[in-house]
Amino acid sequence: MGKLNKEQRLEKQLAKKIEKQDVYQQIKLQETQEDDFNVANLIQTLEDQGQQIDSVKTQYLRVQEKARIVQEPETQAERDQQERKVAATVMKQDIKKWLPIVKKNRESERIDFTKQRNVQISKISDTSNALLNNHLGVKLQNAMEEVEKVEQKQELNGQSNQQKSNLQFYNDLKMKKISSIKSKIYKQIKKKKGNKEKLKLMAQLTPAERRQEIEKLRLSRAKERITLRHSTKNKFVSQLLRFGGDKKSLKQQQSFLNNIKHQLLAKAQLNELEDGEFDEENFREQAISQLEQELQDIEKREKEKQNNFGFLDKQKKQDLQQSKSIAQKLLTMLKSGNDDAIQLDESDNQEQNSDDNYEPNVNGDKDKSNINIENNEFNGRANFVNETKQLTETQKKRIDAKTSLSNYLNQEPEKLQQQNKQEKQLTIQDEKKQLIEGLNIKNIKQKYEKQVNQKLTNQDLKKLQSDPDELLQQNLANFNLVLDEDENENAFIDEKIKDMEEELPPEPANTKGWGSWAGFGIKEKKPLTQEQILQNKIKKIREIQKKRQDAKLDNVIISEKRDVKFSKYLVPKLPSEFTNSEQFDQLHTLPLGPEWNSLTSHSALTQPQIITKAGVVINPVKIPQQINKLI
Amino acid sequence: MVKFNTICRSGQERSTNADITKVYRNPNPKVHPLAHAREYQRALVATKVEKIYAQPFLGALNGHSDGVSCIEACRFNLSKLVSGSYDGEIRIWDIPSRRTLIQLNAHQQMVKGVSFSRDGMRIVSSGEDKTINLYDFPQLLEQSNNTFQDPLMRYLSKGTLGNVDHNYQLSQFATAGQVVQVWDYERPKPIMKFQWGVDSVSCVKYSPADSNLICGTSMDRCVILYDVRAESAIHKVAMLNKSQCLAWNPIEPLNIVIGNDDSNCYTYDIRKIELPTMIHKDHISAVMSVAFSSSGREFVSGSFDRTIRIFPFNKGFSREVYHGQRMQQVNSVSFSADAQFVYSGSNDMNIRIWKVNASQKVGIINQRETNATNYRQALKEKFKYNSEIKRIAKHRHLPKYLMNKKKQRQEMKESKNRKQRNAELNNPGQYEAPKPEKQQRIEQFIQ
Repeated sequence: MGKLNKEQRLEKQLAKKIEKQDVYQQIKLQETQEDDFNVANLIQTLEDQGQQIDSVKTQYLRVQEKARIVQEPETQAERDQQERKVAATVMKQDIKKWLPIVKKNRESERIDFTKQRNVQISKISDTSNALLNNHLGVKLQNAMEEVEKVEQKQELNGQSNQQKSNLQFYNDLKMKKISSIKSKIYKQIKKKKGNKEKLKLMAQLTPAERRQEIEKLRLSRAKERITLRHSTKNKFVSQLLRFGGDKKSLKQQQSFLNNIKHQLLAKAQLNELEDGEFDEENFREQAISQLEQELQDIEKREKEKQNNFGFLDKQKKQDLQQSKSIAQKLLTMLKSGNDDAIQLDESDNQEQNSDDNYEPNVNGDKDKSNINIENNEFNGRANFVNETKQLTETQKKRIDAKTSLSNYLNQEPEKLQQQNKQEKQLTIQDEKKQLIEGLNIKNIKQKYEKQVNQKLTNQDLKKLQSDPDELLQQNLANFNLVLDEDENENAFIDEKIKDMEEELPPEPANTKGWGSWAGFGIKEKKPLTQEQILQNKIKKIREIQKKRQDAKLDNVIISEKRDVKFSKYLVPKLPSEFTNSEQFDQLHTLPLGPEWNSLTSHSALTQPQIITKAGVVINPVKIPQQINKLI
Repeated sequence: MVKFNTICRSGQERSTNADITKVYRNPNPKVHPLAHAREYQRALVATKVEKIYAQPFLGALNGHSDGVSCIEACRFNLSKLVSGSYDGEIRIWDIPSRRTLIQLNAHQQMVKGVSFSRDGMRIVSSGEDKTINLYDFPQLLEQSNNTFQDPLMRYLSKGTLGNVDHNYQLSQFATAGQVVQVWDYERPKPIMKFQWGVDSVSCVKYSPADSNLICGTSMDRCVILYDVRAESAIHKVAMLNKSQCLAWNPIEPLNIVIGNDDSNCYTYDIRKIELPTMIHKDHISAVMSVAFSSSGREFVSGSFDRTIRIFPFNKGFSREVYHGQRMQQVNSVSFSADAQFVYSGSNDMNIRIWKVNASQKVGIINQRETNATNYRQALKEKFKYNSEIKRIAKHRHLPKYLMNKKKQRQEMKESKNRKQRNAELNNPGQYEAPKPEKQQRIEQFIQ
């Protein structure tokens, strides 16, 4: 049954298939009969429609060509090139992994190939991984998160601060820009504005404060001037140095006392001439009042602010003390009524001098008085004042003394010679004193005063007899050396010019005919005159002077000659590795030896850049494991 | 009577180690005005002493019966060296005892290249007879008397062969020749082939740090870079003259040095291979072989002019020149793995051993000695710009033929420059500024 069924089924299926085919063919036949579907027919229809056929044709051709290009196989060379390009891009990407290692090696001060480095790195990474698995690691992480939170809060607070700082930064920038403005007009305007503001401020101040301000300004200017190099020759500064301030003011101060004294003198003389009597009380009162005023002034000046320069203050003090002492002496003298206060001092000196004279004083009191009178003529201002007072009291006495002196002179010519000696001595001393008073130089003064106060020995006196001017001349010469600035300067300039003359190229020997054309019709050149030669020389020297480093420095000679002996320690020119000489010096001034360094620093300084050791194999560079994992 | 032997100490002796008499010094430079002068004198003496004690030649390994064509020091074992000669013989040397361990008649024609594997266990050699031999070192040692030992593997190449270089990490090696081929131990045929252009490649070298990169120098004056991963070349640069040899910097695997036939060495950065980064001049004839120190700071070059020169990797001129009266053209040079010695194989059948630092003491050096030498070196470095020290340090005694040639080259260079300058002066505006020398040496860059 089954077999039959199978066969039947097959037959049925076949029959069905055949039927289907028949149907298909029938349909096909029907279709072909109804409308012929051909390309020709299609084109015919298109032709019927119009000239669109051409555009379609071109479109078709284009598509075909494109397809050809896409489908066409590449040549081997082209394919290789593309492969190479791809390979190159891959290689360039891959190679970047070496860059940090290479950079590190090149920048490191020294590479020690005797140590293995990769081991440590791997250890650290392992431990860090292990940490994360433990409770400790988790705790650490939590702690870190908390810290981050706190930091965030702080950032929020910091924003307002940042705004402020930003504003300040902006302001700074602005000021920078303003300071970089170069136009003159802007500066002038700015200056005027500033001056106006200053004036306003000054107007608000009290006069005393104003004075102080002005003094401050002056001080600052003086400081500026003094700090400027080689401007110490400036008139202002030189006066400061010499007289301890303004020359005028100092002179006024000094002359003030003198004026008073002269006035007093003049009054006294007038009184003498008119009345023959001296109104002592009035004169004293006036003098005392004036002197007191003066003392007050001096005290005031002492209390005044100091100049901040030690040497100036000292000088001022000295001057003031001198004038003060003189004024005080006068005051005491006038108040007490004793004129001997100063006289005594001087007479002591005279006595000292007279003691040394080996010839004894024959005339006791008379001689002494004579000497006093005569000495008064030579002594300074104080004595001169004393004289006037003596006049009043001892006019008659004095006249008597003079007459007696003339008698004495007539009687004893030998003694007169001795007296003359004394006079000479005294004149020398006085001249010296005058010299000292004119010069406010402390050291020299002291030095010279010692010489003056030295007791003259017998030999000295003998010398003086032979030529008395010798000692004076010697000392004067010493003074000139120290004090005569002009001469000193001239000598210095001469030295400088000499130095420059040495730099001049040697002059060619002036042989006639050499270095000039010869032959018929050539005019002979006149040889240079001495003046011309000198002028040429001066010109050359001036040119040299301009080039010299010390051209603008009057008091300096800079030798520009190179010391050959020293040159071996120097480098002839800056090596190309360095950008400037300072950089080079910094690297090369440091001594390396154990004498100048501690042992540790010595060994650190002398370590070689690359440390290798015989027997230690150096492996090619490797990428550390951490980076390798990332890759 | 009783006698006591009392203990007595002189004043100078120390009772304990702790009581050291301290010396206090003032570091203020004003107190030491003569420090500079004294150090200068020391530096001068150091340079002179170094010259006096400069004895770079340690010894020769003789045994080859023909010129030595190629040598390579083992990368693992400091005492091993392999060399190949023109008669097809390969010798493996023990350097401390200066004798041959193994002698092999490996090739029927000249040995083109020999190479150690990274672990020092395998040796590969390539010959002109188109065969590549792979030897097992322990196996060779077992039968060290047998000169006709069979290799572990023998590979046959279709084309002619150049040198051979073993990969630093894998069990592969590359050979130069008509085609650059990469071989595996286990495959009888090359696993990779690179061909670019018609001319053959004379020398290939694996990058020691990166096992995928191979660089080669071809007979058509090119330097070519290959990538094994991409199985293709990367780019090449054509120079004016042919290059014979090359070496990779093991510490900076971006840089390669090439020995050129124009007697110069060129350093290239493989990122920008269009132009060399540096030209190293000093040889007067073709450079036959270059090898990098494992420290990556200097390389050695052997030349046809019968000299060996050691160049700092970043300087244009050589630091040291070695030559011998009997040494002929140097075919091959190699650095020891600890960067202390240089080996050179030359046409006179000898392999020579040189010190890298000519005046360095060989043997055990104690700490005080090393400190002293360090100090001397530091002083030399400090005063190297001073003319006297510079002159002494720079001076090298050279044979006459070298001096004459050097002078001649200098004159030629000067006259050429003069000519150029005069031409420019006399025809203003007609000449362009001359190209930099690096650019002049390069013909074309091909990608």
